[in-house]
Amino acid sequence: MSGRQPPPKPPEPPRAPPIQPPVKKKVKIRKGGRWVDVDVDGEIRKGRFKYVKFVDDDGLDTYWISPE
Amino acid sequence: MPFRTVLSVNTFGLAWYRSLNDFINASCASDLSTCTSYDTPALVFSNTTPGCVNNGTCVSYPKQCNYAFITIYDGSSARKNGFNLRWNAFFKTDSFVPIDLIGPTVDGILMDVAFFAPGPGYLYTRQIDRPGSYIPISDFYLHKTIETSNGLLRSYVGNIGTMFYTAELRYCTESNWLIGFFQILFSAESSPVAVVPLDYHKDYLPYSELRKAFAYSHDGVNQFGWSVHDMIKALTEVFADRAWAVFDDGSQVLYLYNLTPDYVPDWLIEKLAPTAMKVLKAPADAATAKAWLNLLSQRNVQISAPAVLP
Repeated sequence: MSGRQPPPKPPEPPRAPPIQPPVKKKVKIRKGGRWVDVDVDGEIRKGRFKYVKFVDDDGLDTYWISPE
Repeated sequence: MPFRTVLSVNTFGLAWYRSLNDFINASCASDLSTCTSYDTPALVFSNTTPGCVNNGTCVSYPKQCNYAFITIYDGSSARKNGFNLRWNAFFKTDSFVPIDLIGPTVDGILMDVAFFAPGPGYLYTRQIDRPGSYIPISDFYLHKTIETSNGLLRSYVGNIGTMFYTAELRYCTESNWLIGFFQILFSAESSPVAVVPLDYHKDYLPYSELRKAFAYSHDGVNQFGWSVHDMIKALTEVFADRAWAVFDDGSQVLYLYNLTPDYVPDWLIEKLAPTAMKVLKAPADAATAKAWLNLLSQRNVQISAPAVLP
């Protein structure tokens, strides 16, 4: 029986914080007569209108007029 | 659905706003071949090439009786639209024979514009010497006859409202030339609209197919129909490799095929004011989308500034 203690573990290097998916901006749009929250992928401006881009329930890339 | 009306005008030698007096007072009234100031080329009937063809003031057609020389409506989308055809045409004849037969045909039947005037219109069969049927909803008559040293000038005015199959101008007359205008008023209660600029001559078959399926397109850009899903289905089959758009005015959605909003000009957005744009298919290559934008811009006078392309 040596009674020796195991050598102390070297300190672990600091871990990088887990990569979080970018938080998408949420916008309320008026759709089907109701206000709906959608996660926006981007914004474009066409003429005097501003549209927010998201993937709609039908799976299509959709640009919806922004209420802002 | 909105009730749409479109006036399509064919002018020969004059613009639609010109009056008979403008023509009579012109120094070239007695000899059209000397005219240089008319708005559009006149029609000259001759078996030789008149001088005015060379200076661009006329278009010539052979003198051949019952010869259909211009189709002003090809019969596509018949029974889907309402039509009203009217005309105001001036003829010149050298023979003083009161027989002028330059008239529109309705479903292949020639409308005589000279024998019975003024009064209600008559139709003549393909054998133009055989009387045909009376059309109670027509009204055309000899408006004016003016004698000149070179022959008679006759002005005819008339209109007919019907669901006709075809309308073409046929020649069988002693007249040497024709100036005037023919107008067709198309109407239909229809929507949505496909935005697909096409060249009638270059794309005749698909163009004709679209117009048979949908309402009449007066400008070769805006194709009106009745069901957005039917239109998208038809366009996907006929123009799988082209770019086009369909605007559903019920839901205010602009569907884009082989297009993204980057290619949609701002003036079109201002005009349609869509609540949403949906990309049915992203452009396979930029050239397809740019070709659509270029054709649309060429055919639309409302464009003010070029769109910024990606």
